[in-house]
Amino acid sequence: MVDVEVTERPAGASESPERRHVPHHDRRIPRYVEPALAVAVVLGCWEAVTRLHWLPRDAFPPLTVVVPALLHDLSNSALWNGIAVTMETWAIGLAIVVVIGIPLGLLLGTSRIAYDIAHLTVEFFRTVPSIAALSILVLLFGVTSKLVVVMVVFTAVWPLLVQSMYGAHDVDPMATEMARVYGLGWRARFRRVVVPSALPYIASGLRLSGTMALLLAISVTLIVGGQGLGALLSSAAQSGQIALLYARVVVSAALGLLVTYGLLSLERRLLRWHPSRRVVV
Amino acid sequence: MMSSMRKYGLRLLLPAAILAAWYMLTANSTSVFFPPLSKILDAFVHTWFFDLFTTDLLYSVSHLVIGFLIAAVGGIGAGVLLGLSPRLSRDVSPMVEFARATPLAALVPIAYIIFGPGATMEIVLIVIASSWPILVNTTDGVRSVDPALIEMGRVYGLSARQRLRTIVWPAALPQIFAGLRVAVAVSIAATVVANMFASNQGLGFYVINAYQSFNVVGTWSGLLMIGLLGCLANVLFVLIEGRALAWWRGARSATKST
Repeated sequence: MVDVEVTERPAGASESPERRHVPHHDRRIPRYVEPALAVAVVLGCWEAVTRLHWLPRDAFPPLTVVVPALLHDLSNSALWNGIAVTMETWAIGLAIVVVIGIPLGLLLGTSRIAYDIAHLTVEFFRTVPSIAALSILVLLFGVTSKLVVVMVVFTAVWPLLVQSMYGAHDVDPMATEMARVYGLGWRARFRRVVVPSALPYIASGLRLSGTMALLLAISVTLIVGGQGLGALLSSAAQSGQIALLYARVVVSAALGLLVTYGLLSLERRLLRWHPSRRVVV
Repeated sequence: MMSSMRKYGLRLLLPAAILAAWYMLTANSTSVFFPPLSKILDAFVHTWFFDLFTTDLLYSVSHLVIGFLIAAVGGIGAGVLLGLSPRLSRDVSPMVEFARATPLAALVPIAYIIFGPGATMEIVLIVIASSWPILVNTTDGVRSVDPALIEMGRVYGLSARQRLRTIVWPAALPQIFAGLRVAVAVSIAATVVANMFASNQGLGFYVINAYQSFNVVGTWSGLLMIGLLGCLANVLFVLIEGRALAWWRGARSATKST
């Protein structure tokens, strides 16, 4: 069997500046005009198609119905309460994931034997859809926010663990050897060689875990109810308030974007010094 | 040879130890939540190989396969298109980013309302969830093909279609497979979630139904089946990938050793 070679690449590892350059046909048009037009066209088509009743109205509300529903819902404390509960379980879960995943992954990655022993098992747990464990955990914890946090941790710990493991495993042996020659002890080598060179992997692992944690925080309350954005989505669906449902999907997507870009900018900040990020002048 | 045997032995050690520990710790268990593993295995064999093989297991697996294949074809096709045209990919990027960031769970109730419970809704959700990793990785892979290679193909008189087939496709394939690999895991999770939310058969329905009727042994056996399915899908995928990318790994190790 082959080893797992292709992992999630650290962001920016192969994005050299010239590849990201989009050729301009006309320098006078700013680069954001075309994407903005594309969005406007899609939204316009949505409005037209739904207004003309080409799609069943009870499943596809027009944009001009969704937006007022969204604005109305934004002044509703139930929505903000749901967002707060979901983001709280997300944050607690992710904090636990960081505390467990990074040290454990680095330890498993630095030792050859530990890596060989843990590799297959970790890969197994990573691919197994842990949402299935929901049924057992809900029996143990009941429908509480503890349940949500446990599910978040159980699912989102794997990407970070795996990335930290690969990061520590991939440290250039020359660098470790050099540190040894210079008389650095185990602890100093770990701090000055292993951690910095694994950092890009850890950062992209954190991004994966962060988005996965949000997905779980919403999924759990969607399925079992309780408090949170998921429960609000399913209550809108069950009461047949279709515009409200779309509005709350938009809110979920906004949270998704917030988490993705928040972690991406954290990653950029953490890795500003890293060679893969330095632009050759 | 010896060392590779030792390596695989070591890898299987931990799963074997976990199973053994589970078996022994629960052997005389009277806890409601942790029934003896032997009981779970009994139920597992009965449920999945006799009683519910076609109604629940095949039902979910067939949706999984259909959804994954549609996502693979669509994701790779769209990804190649976006990878070849930086301008197009820039223009649709706000939509792609927005759609990607939307948690799948939020789309489950919408799909439920549009399609009603059943096969269509589940397949649509699987396709939506697993298309994104494939699309993004394909776009990335195609975009990072060395422009000098494409230029060389042009100089040698290859048509656009020939360049796509002989230069771009092989160069992007490793990254496309990385995307497919992520999509395998995502599609299984999507199958289970869609199935849990609204259905009256399938794997996800089975575990949720077992939980709601306090059938703890059944819940565990469903959990095991989903785990086993994930494991099998992963092994199958690694085999296919190893075959499809054998030339690439060979070339890589050749350049590494020089």
